Amino acid sequence: MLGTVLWAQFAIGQQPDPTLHGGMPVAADELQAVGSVGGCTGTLITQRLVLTAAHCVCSGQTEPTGCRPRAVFTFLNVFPVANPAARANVMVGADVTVHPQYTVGGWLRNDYALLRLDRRADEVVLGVAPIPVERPDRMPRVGETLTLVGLGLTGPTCKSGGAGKLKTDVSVSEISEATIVFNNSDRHACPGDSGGPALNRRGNVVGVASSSDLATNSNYDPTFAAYEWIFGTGRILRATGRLTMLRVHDVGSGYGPSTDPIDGEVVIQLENDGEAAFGFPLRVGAGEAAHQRMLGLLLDAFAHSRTLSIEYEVTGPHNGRLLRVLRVL
Amino acid sequence: MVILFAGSLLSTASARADLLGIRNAHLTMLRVHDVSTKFGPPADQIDAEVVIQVAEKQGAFGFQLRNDAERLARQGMLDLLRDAFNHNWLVNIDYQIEPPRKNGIITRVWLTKAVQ
Repeated sequence: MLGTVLWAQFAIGQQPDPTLHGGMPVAADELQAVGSVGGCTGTLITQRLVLTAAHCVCSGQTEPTGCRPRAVFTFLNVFPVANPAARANVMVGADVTVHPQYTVGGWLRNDYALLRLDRRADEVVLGVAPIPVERPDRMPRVGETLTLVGLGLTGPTCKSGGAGKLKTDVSVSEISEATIVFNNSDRHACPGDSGGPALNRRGNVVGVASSSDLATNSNYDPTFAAYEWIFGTGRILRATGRLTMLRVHDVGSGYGPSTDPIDGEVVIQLENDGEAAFGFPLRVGAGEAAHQRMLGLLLDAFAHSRTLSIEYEVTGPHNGRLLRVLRVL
Repeated sequence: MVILFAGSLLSTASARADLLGIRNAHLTMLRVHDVSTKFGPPADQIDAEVVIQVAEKQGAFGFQLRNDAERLARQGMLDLLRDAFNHNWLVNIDYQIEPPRKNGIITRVWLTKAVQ
């Protein structure tokens, strides 16, 4: 679908000072995780990660060229930890990672970039809450109403100046692996909205603003197609340390937020791993003998404050599926 | 406090239960008994095989330990409670209870440890 209208499309972050036409102002305490990335918009999705559009940090739009290794994310009109008495903008430097398939397959394809902030957001801004990325199995559907948030220009043809952080509800016209399309002449994205989020009813990010015809059509790249890249899901990693938490709960009661759940009955946390939690099932079935012994090792390690290593599969922003428990002398 | 419809998890016909928690509590009693012998007076009885009491909260809290789909998880929960009792560790539990009862059904058990 995108290919048929490329000639009329504009990357909506390419202009230096280029909001969302048809948008409503966002209250100061609302959506503080949405901030500025240069002339673009970005969304804090974890305390360290900001999701934006690749073309906001790369000059190339048909090939991944001119990509900056560093960027600045600005929290707008927030209470800084350093001076909580008054609202201000807070800037944080960040390392940039562009989606490895950016422009592969066409203009602005895989238009995603991640900024890894030099400091955790809650270290510099009071009360800021990241906006989670929706789980990939909860992709939006045609006709579903999403909320677009951006900092760009306004007006029917995006000729008016920006009006701060705006939001607008628009229903999905089309969706594919490549893009979420909104066709609405009263409500559409404008330059400066690039990198901004499309939020579902649960308030989670499902799309990243990429391009617009500046009149009717807005294209957002779907996060379900980039979820594995964003969070590195599927990777097997190792962590080492002493247990700080050991939990067992009823079958199926789960652990973690809906965007980062652990489908297991045994859950642990390790020192030095912050918010991360790791778990495995403890259910009647093929794995029961192994899982019982894994719990046994964990119980021993907890009782004696012993260091252990674990190997886990990354399943979400923070949490993982615990695969192996190792005790090494 | 979250109000749940969880009547099937409780021993009476009432359909309303609160999901509550106890944090950093000292175990004062750990009991395991035969299936279906239950615990508590008729008006405040829990149909559970593992029962604990803690110093910080009146009442008793328990869960079933039977040959069913929950068996392994419940054995794990009992393992945690037994270790906590042996080492005098503080325990955390979530439980469901029907007000104004004092005895509740445990759904989660966990231990925390500050590492230095």
